[in-house]
Amino acid sequence: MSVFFQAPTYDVSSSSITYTMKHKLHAWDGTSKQVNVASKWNGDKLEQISVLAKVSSFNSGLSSRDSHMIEVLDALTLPNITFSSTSIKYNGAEIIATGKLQFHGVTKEVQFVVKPKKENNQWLYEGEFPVLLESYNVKRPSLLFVKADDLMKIRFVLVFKDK
Amino acid sequence: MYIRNKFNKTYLLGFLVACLFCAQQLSAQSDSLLQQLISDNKVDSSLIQPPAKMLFTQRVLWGTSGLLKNRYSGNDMVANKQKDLKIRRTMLQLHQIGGFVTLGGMVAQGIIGSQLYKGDYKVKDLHENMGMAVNLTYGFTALNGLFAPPSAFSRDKKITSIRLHKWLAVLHLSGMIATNILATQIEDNASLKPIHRAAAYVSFASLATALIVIKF
Repeated sequence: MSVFFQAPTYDVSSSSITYTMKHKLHAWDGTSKQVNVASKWNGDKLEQISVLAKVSSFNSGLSSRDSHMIEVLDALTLPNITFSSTSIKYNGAEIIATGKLQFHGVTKEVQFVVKPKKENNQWLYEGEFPVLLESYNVKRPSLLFVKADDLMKIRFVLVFKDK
Repeated sequence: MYIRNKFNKTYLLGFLVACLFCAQQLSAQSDSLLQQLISDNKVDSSLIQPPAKMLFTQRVLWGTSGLLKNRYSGNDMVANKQKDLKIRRTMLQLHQIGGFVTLGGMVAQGIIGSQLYKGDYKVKDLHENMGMAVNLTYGFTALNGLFAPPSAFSRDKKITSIRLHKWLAVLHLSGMIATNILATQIEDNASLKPIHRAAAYVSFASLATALIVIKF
């Protein structure tokens, strides 16, 4: 069976990464629908994956806020957020992914759970993990001189279609 | 015994080298996957040009044909854009401070004005001086908002908090102009007092709402 198996193709139009941030006054999301992925498969099992999203591709629905994020993340000179897996382990219905997250020019190892879900002829790989902005040397954005929370949640949905 | 220990050490060393080699191979493979995605561009050039849409006041200064088009001596467009964004942040922070100071001044002016309205003419000079102070802080706040360098994007299509903030700015600016014009005419025509007061209330209410709706 696996001899004839062709690796699933990545569907960029259905995939997205969303960050959630909080401030004393409100919370907001920013979503990128331009998520680039390169992957390596062993049969129908994901073996390795690299993900890249441009900071400028995240849209929170408010240009001035996105512009503020461009400033604090120095996106002119550090335009990309990347993740590169170093270990993909299948654990029952879940995947434990470990890898290097490069954010604001700082690389750190992260580990998170990915939940694969089959829908029609496509596989959705969903997960989330926290990022502490200051640990990546990011100056937290502020409004009315109150800084946003240090914790930023990252959620992702990567969609692969069966060939 | 000696031979056995030596064999164990050699075996252990070989195992460690093999592990290291595997880890390096894995890391190299994941790095090569990532390299497929990364372009040679170290800079996001899409952010360097000013947005297509901006306020006319911003265009006058910061537009491609603006008065400050040759504002920096260096040709490093990235460094120039970074400077612009830094100036923008500073001006918007001053805009925020100015907004609160102006609102505070308006509250005080409202209290003083109501005493004057009731016939306490001792506070007339204070009312005029406070009016001047509010005008100054309002003008300072407006200048920092209107002439700040534009944001990196202009892609909002819906009604956003910033758009509401700008619409309310039109209202409180109109209210401020009306309040000031009416103030100069009250001495000759006392019947304008209620209209002057109403214009001042509209200015205050719209400025307060503009502060509340804003989100970064």
